[in-house]
This record gives sequence, C-alpha cells and structure tokens, in this order.
Amino acid sequence: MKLEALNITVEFQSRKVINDLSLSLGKGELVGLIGPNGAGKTTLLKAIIGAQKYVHGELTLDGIPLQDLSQVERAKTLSYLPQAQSIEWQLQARALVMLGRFPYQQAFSPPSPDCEYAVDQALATVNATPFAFRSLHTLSGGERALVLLARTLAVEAPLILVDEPIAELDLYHQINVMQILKDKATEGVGVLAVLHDLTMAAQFMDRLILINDGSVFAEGSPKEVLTKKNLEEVYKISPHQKDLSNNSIIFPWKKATKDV
Amino acid sequence: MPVNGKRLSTFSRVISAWCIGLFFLGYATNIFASEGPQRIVSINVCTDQLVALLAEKDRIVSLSHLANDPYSSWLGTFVDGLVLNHGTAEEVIALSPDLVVTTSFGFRPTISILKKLGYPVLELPIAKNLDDVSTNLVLLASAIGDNEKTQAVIGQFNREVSSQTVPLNSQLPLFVSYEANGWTMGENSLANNVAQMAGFETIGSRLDFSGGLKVDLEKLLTIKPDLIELGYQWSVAPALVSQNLWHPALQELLKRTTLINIPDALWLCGSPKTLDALHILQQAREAL
Amino acid sequence: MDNIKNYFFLLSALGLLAVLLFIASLMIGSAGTGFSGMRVMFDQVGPEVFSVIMKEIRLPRAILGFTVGASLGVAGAALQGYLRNPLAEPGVIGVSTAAALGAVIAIYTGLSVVMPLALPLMAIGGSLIVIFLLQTIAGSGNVATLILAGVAISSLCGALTSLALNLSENPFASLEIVFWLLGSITDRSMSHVWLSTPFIVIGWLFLAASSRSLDVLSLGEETAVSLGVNLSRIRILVISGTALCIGACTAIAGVIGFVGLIVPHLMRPLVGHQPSRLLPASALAGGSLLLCADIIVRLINFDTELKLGVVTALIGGPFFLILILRLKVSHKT
Repeated sequence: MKLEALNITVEFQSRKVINDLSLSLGKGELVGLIGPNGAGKTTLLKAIIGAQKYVHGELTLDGIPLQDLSQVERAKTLSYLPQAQSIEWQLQARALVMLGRFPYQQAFSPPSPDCEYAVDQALATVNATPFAFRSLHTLSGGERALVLLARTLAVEAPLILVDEPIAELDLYHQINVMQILKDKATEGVGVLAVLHDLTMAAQFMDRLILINDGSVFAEGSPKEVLTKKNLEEVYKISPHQKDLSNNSIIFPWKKATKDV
Repeated sequence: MPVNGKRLSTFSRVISAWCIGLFFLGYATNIFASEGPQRIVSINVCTDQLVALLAEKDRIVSLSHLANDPYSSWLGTFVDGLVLNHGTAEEVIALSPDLVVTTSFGFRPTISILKKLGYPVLELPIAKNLDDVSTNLVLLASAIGDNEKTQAVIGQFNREVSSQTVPLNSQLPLFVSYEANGWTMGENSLANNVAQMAGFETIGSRLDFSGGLKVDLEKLLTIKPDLIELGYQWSVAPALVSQNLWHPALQELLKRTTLINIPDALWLCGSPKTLDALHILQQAREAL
Repeated sequence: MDNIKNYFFLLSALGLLAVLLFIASLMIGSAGTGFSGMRVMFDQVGPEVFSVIMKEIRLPRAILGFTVGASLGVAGAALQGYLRNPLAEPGVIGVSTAAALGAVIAIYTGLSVVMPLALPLMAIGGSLIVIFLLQTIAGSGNVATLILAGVAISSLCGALTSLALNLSENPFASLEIVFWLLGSITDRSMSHVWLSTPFIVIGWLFLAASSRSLDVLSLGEETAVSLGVNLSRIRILVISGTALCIGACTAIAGVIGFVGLIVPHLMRPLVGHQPSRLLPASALAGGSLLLCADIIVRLINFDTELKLGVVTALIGGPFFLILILRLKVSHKT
C-alpha cells in the first residue's frame, strides 16, 4: 500500500501555496511533515484526502489515481485527523469514535459487531476506555485528543494522516500520542504526521519531509534533514542542537543572523 | 382754491363713508343671510353620503376618495366635478373650506390640526341604528343651514322609518352577516339593528356580544343561520378571503341556508340608503 | 446497546404523545369541546353537519397541526446539524419569511387560482432563494454573520410581503398580513392538506437521507470528506429538504417561528446530542408542540383569534434569549 503525491500544485488566488510537490507514504512508516507556518503542510493533507482542489498533479494509491476510487474505498484507505478543533455537539466519547466507522456502516442499521469491535479496539489503543461513556465536553484536553485519535484509528485504514496531533497537549500526552502513532506504524500502518515539535519529530519519525514555500526543501532521515543549515534557512532560527545516539534534541534558540 | 384736494367736500366724504359703510353692511348681512357654509369638505365616506344628500352640489368642494368606490358608497358619478381628498390636513387646508365634516372616529391628529387652525369641524357620531341616522341628518342640516331641501330629505326619511313595522314573533329566523375572514358585528351595531328591524334574530343576540367577533366555520355551522350574507363575495381581486369561499364546510353551510347579497355601500355607513338594505332583508324574510 | 433502547423508548413516548394530542385536537372546537360538548354538538347539528365539522374542519386542522409542527421541528434540527450551530432555525435565518413572500405573491396575483400548485411551489422557491443567498453571504462558520444576514433577509421579506398585500386591489388584503406573519391553521381545509403534504413528506425524506452524514459533519467538513461524506450531496439534501418543508408549511399556515429552535434544543440531551437521532425526535416533538399550541389557541376564548405564531413566540422568545445567554457564558469559559 503506497500513497504517492506527484507534482501537486495548489493555488489560492493565483498564489502557489503548494508548488510542484511530490512525496510518498508507504506501509509501516512514520513520516513527519515539517516546516514553518504557511509552508503548505495542512493544505497538502487536505488535498490528499480530497478536501482541497489542486490545479496540477496526481495522487495515486498503488498506482491507481485516487479519484478513480469510490468515496467509500478512499475513506476506508485514508484516515484523517485534523488540527485541534471544537466539536459543537456534546457527543458521548464512544459515539464519536463510532463516527469513524461511517464508511463501513449501512444506512439506518445499528453498528455491526465488527464496528463495535473496531471502536473498542481503538479506544483501548489510546487508553480511553475508562472515559468512553462520558460526554466529550466533560473531558480534559488530553482526553479529548485521545478520543479524536481513537476515532481516526477506528477507521482501520492502512494509511493515516494527522495534522499537529500533539499541539495543545501536555507533555505526558504528547509522548503518549507519538508512541501510539509509532506503535501503529510498527503494526504496518503508514502514518504521515504534520509536526512543529522538531525534537519529537527527530525522536519518533522514520523519515522527515521538510517543506518550505510549498515545495520539498529536504527529505530523508531526521539526522539528514535536521541540519543546522536547513533549520537556519527554512525556519530562520539558530537552533541549539544536541545530538544523541539516534536522535537529536533541538531547541529554538534565537533568530538566525542576517547573512544566511 | 383747487378742486381736487381740499375741494373734497363734506358731502363727498359723507357719501363715501356711507358707500363704504353700506358695502360692509351688505357683506356682513350677506353672511347672515346666506344658506350657511359655501365650501363644504367631507373627509369621510360616511359623511360624504350625508353631505351629498343634504347640501347643494355647488356648496360641496370635496368628498373623500372613497366617495365613488362602489363597495363603500352609493354616490357613484355624483362625485364628477368634485375634488376627491385623502383626508390629510394639507389637502383640506388647500381647499379653503368653511366647514369640514367627518365622523367622531376620524383620524385624531388631522382633526386636531384643523381645529387648531380655526376651521369649523363637524364630527358626527357613527350611526348604530336608523334613529342615529336621523339625528346625524339633523346635526348636519343645522351645521350647513336648514332649508327646504334638508327638511324634505329629513322629513321623508323620518316618515319612512316610522312607517316600518317590526314583525313580532317568538321564533325569529337567524340572520348572519359573515364578513371577510369570519368577522361578524354584534349587538348595537347598524347591521344588527337593521336586521332586527326586519324581523330577524342576529348573531349579536344569539352569541351575546357587542363589537366585532371572529366566528370560525365550526361555530357558524352550529348556530345554523336561516339567512346569510357573505360580505366579501363581490371581491374580484384574490386574497385569502376568496380562498375561504371555497371551503367545503362553508359550501355545506350554503346548501342549508339562504344566501342573499346586500351591497356593502348600503349599510357600511348609516344613511337614508340603509333603508334599501332594510327592504332587501324584509323581502328575504317574506321569502323564507 | 442501552443507548438505542433508550432512543426507541423516547421515540415511542413522543409518538404516543403526538397521537394523544392529535385526538385531543379533534375533540376541541368552538362548536363543542370534549366528549359531552361533542355529544351536544351532535344533537344540535345532526349527523351530516357533525360529520362535515369533523371531516372538513377539525381533521385538516389536526393533520396540519402535526405536519407543520413536525416540519418545523425537523427542519430546525437539520439546519442546526448542517450549520453546526444551535441557533439556526428557519424563522431566525429568514427562510420562513421568504416562503411567506412567495406564497403571498402566488395568491394575490391570482396565480394560485389559475394553478393551485403555484402556491406551495412559489413558497418553496422563496425559501430556496434565501437559503442560497445565506450560503453566499454567510458561508460557513461565523454565527454572527449568519444570524445578522438572516435578520436582514427576514425584515426585507416581511416588508416586501406587506408591500405586496398593500398593492392588492382586495381591500382585505392588507389586513391579512397578520395571518402571514403570525401564522394560523384555523379554518384550513383538506385541500390545504393535499396541497402541502406531498411536498412536506418529500422534504422529510430528503432530510432523513442526510441524517447520518450530519452526524459525521460534527467532526468538521474536512474530516467528513475524509470519511466519505459528499458535501455537495448533503448540502442539496438539507437545503432542498428544508425549503420543501418550510415552503409548503408557510404557504398554508403562515410564518410560525421558534418551534425549530425550541424543540431540537429540548430533545438534544435526550438523544445523546446526535444529529441523526435528533431529526425523528424533533419531528415528533415539534408536531406535539404545535398541536399543543393550537389547542391553547382554541381554549383561550378571545374575540379575535389568538394567532399560533404568538403562542410560539411567547414561549420561544424568552427561550431564545436564555439560549444566547447560555452560549455567551459557555464561550467565555
């Protein structure tokens, strides 16, 4: 199962937000999509799941164009978790996770045993079972994030796209969520995650794609991508970097000097 | 000594004074000797009809714009040559009236302005029965100046009214005037009183109310009128009222009761023509 | 699942309530109320007229009380689910008033005399135009913009309705504005039922078809797309369903507000806040509420008829204010 984006271009009012970008996502890998604000990361994810039109380029799944797939097939293959958002209705946590089974459900019939099982599994994976029957609005930020993640997992899709999954979480939950994603990758799911936290990216990701101004700036292992030079040029900061055995700790330290 | 100047003799002066004096005297006596106001303006359709009956046409300057509306007034082409007004103070003042006639339910702000500006305004009460009509005729006559014409009109009306006999019967047939959207008038209204004079029981007494009442179809079906008048069936332009005419329940009612048509213009306002409405009802009663 | 059992229990209870109110509605009227009243009426008018009263006056009134109330409830629930906003309601956003304008034009120009179907169709057309306008002006998201746009459109349509009535040559037309802006089902006939019910039922079906997608829409538009929801299909279903229901109802009963606001709000906690479950519950509860309001209208004996819209506004107005206050408070925390 391989997702490929080839030469994608997205335009907003004749400005190229994504410019001739190509990337791929395969089974069992945890790939990080990093880059500064406005680089086009969220837009790219939206384009892949079909919520954003692109003027040029191709999206394929194992060589088959995504648009040739039915909406249901596409939904069962690609699961998407957007940036933290508010849910208007005070749904029960479990009921919300069940929404992830929408591509599998028949209209007007109750959820099948498969659906119930998948939901239970998803809740267990994120350790949300203790509060599964509580209303969403009574949960803490971290608990809510886990429930939303469980919803994404309940789709049982081979490919998962997540947009800033740890943005508003406390430190414990940040690690928790990253670990869950890592475990999923180990199980064989392909995960593409947009992240701002470079240390987390370095620690958990198999591969990083650094995006700047709508195009791929650098791609490769965290060590290869997170060089001082790349960070200075793309993020315009001088990081304080400490390399450990297989990853690095990166702190944004100060703004880059002018002559870069 | 020069002729013109000091030569204006005492005699000339006296003559001039007399002429001027006579002129003014004549003018003054002209007013007292006249037949009342010469520029009458009526701003209400009900008073239009009374003014038209009592005053000579050349003393009438303006009537309301409903005066020739066939659904409100029977005056018809009488209004030719007259200005039609919408009852605004500006219009009225521009006509320089010496008498303004309206009903006591006229638009108060307009009436106050006119009174404040010194125009004589006659407010006639709404006639609730034929005696009230007579009273109004008398009031109007005295305001415009009683003469042969007014006395003839009033005299004839009074004679006709007193010659009516109200049938005495224990069982009176029920008459309902079912206006648009279910409105009916109760006791102490012109319609009810006229109908009672014609020998009918009215909805006002049957349901014991005065003023207006919205009666729905169900109620109408249960009180089982013997004679019904649908005030709005003449309307040509469509509205909800016209839809209601086709209601199956109303159609059912019409199968069981006699329908007559009394032109609104006859008894919307109390006037001598209301006697025609009375006659129509009397004939209908005979026929029942 | 206990959840589903509770839900069906709720629907059964609401259904029973609606049936009881329907029967009560048949038994109340100016000619005779209650068992004894109706017996007296029967003796008074005889079997033929009794049957006419029941079949041609009370039956259409009860049917319309339910169908109009149910439509208002379900359309309110659907709009709220689609716009993801608990303040959305056909009356508030101007859809009902636009329908009234369409209806008034159909009647007072004589079009509906020539072609009876013109009445519901033009009312539905009015609703459709406004919903599209709103989508264009307010787009998605901003609550304030949507409601302000709705208020503006509502005022405009109300004014145009009044104008249309004034321009009519029929002297009673301008008085009939009271009916259009405050609503009534007094003295409606079975022909009104036949004229409106097909559109209403189709509207219900469209809205029902959108219900599950409305659940998924809670997660946001992009997530819904990722789960396979066809956004344009849902938009068409909700918009047409709402326009059909509200258009047909307003064409024969005038503008009745607040039902679509109160009912979904009351039912939401009882259905676990799920938009899909809210639709049937709101339909049944809306029908019951309007039947109830219509019963109140008949039990209070006024010389002039108390309009349905007044009763719903008296309950709904304060309700709306409290709702806004509560939302304001919750956004502050």
